[in-house]
Amino acid sequence: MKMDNIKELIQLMKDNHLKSLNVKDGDLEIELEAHSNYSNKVVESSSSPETNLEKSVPKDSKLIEIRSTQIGTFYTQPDEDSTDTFVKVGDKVTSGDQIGLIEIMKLFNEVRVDHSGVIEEILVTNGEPVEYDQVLMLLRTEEE
Amino acid sequence: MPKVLVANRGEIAVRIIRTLKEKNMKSVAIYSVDDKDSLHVALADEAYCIGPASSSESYLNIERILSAAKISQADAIHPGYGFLAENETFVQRCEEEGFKFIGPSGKLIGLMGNKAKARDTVGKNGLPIIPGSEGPIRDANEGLIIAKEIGYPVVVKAVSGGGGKGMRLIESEKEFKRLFHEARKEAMSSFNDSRVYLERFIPDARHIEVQILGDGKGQAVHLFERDCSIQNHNQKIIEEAPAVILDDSTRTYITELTAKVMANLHYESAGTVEYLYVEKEKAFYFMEMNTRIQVEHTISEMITGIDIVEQQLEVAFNGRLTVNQSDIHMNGVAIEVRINAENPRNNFMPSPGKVELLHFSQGHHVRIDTHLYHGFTISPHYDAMIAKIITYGHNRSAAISKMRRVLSETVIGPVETNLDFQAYIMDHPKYQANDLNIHFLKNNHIIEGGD
Repeated sequence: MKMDNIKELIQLMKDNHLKSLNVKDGDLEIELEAHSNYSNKVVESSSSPETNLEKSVPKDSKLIEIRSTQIGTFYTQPDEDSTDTFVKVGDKVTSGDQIGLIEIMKLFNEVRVDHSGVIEEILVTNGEPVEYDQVLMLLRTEEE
Repeated sequence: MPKVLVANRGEIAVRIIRTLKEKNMKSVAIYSVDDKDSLHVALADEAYCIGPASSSESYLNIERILSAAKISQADAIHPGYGFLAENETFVQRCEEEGFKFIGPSGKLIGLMGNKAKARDTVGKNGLPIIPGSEGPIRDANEGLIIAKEIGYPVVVKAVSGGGGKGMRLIESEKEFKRLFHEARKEAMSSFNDSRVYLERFIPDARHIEVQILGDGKGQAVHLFERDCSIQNHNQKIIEEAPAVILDDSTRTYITELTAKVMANLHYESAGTVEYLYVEKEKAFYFMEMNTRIQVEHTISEMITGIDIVEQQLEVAFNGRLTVNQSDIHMNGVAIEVRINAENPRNNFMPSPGKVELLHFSQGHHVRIDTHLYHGFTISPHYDAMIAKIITYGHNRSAAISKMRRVLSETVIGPVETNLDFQAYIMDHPKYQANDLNIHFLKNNHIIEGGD
């Protein structure tokens, strides 16, 4: 088996999204395994077309998970009587901005971001119980 | 259907959740980030992550636990042992927020938590106490007078003490002042409370304790007693029920007296009164009371057939015990061996890590209480106890034989454990002959040095 043949096999694996491949030819046996990053990429590109991703997201941005530091009740609204929220999807926030409140035994704790960026997704609703370490929101940031 | 939040982790959380399931009650687990793959989390009907691994921000954090109780709409909180089980403030906060605390009143917990007050209270109520000063001592001169009265050797102990801190053994009058001041200084730096009291020193005793259940309204029963004399630096490692060293009349005397005093104190839920027992005098001396379920409650369950957690739930929700003293009988002997993730060959250094080999022996009259499973990672943040192995036999030697067989079959690895250490004790002729006291390990050179 020549180097070119092996390259062909790798291309075959890529085209068919295979994680591993075992080929036996006479005395020679070759086993190929895709690196985990590679296989993740395969899944990602198949679920969301690359063109779409490139359009909406700057290249060097990353998603940050904003996690709860308390167990308690999360509030997205500062005031129960109005439907105004601290932040909504697409809002630009800077480090230190308030994004919600957590009530723990009648004490209200302000929840603030420690990165700057754009709110990509809000994963909790107003008045929802949250656990410690639960992801509350996703923040798209261009910080290092 | 009542819902109970279990404010604990590890084997005791698993054990409590099991009875809740059997009683058709809802169970709520709380856990730290480090415990997200723990068995108690998997077994409970609901589970809430309340904080990071550090106990002060999770299992010891009152407000976070109450927040989880509120979110889950729990009716009651079972504290297990350790953590907040004997914290008076926690009981008060549970009551303020409308959760039933499964245990005695905050007032009683506070009383028993103060060693000098506990001693005075039970003494006035008729339990035998070690001769000593009534309450804290003002100064060394007063101490010298009292020490002379009770007779040397004496022990000076911190009022807020525990674990041997702020404690000195004084053998004669001439070293009294020096050691008295040392103890005071250590008490101040360890507990921020320099008050100390005096007691006669009791050498070579056994540790014998009486298991109590009370309804909080003046009814209390005992589930006989346990002998917990095998200790490693004041830490129990093997327990037996009953204490076979006691003859029937001595057993009846101490168990009935203890139950009577606890009834008079309106003790609620499970509790244990610990005594030093001096064999040649057949004398008991009150040490302390533990106002909670204990690690070794299992062996009392084995010899009486009573589920102690079930009785705690009956008292909490229905205000009564479902057993009378006349229904409670003991049969046979049960032994519990505590298995810790530690290295006995390296000063009992804790040995946390992933459990990749796990096989518990089973068979007739074998009980294993554990939170281990294949692939579980033992966290370095918490207690090293990973399992309790309990065997039951028609007499002590049958229970020992069974324990030797069970220990020889059990495999836990690659973490280090004290399995072999415990097997060594089970094989020891003096242990088998029940020729022992609380200094067994030191006296037989199984461990080194002083306490």
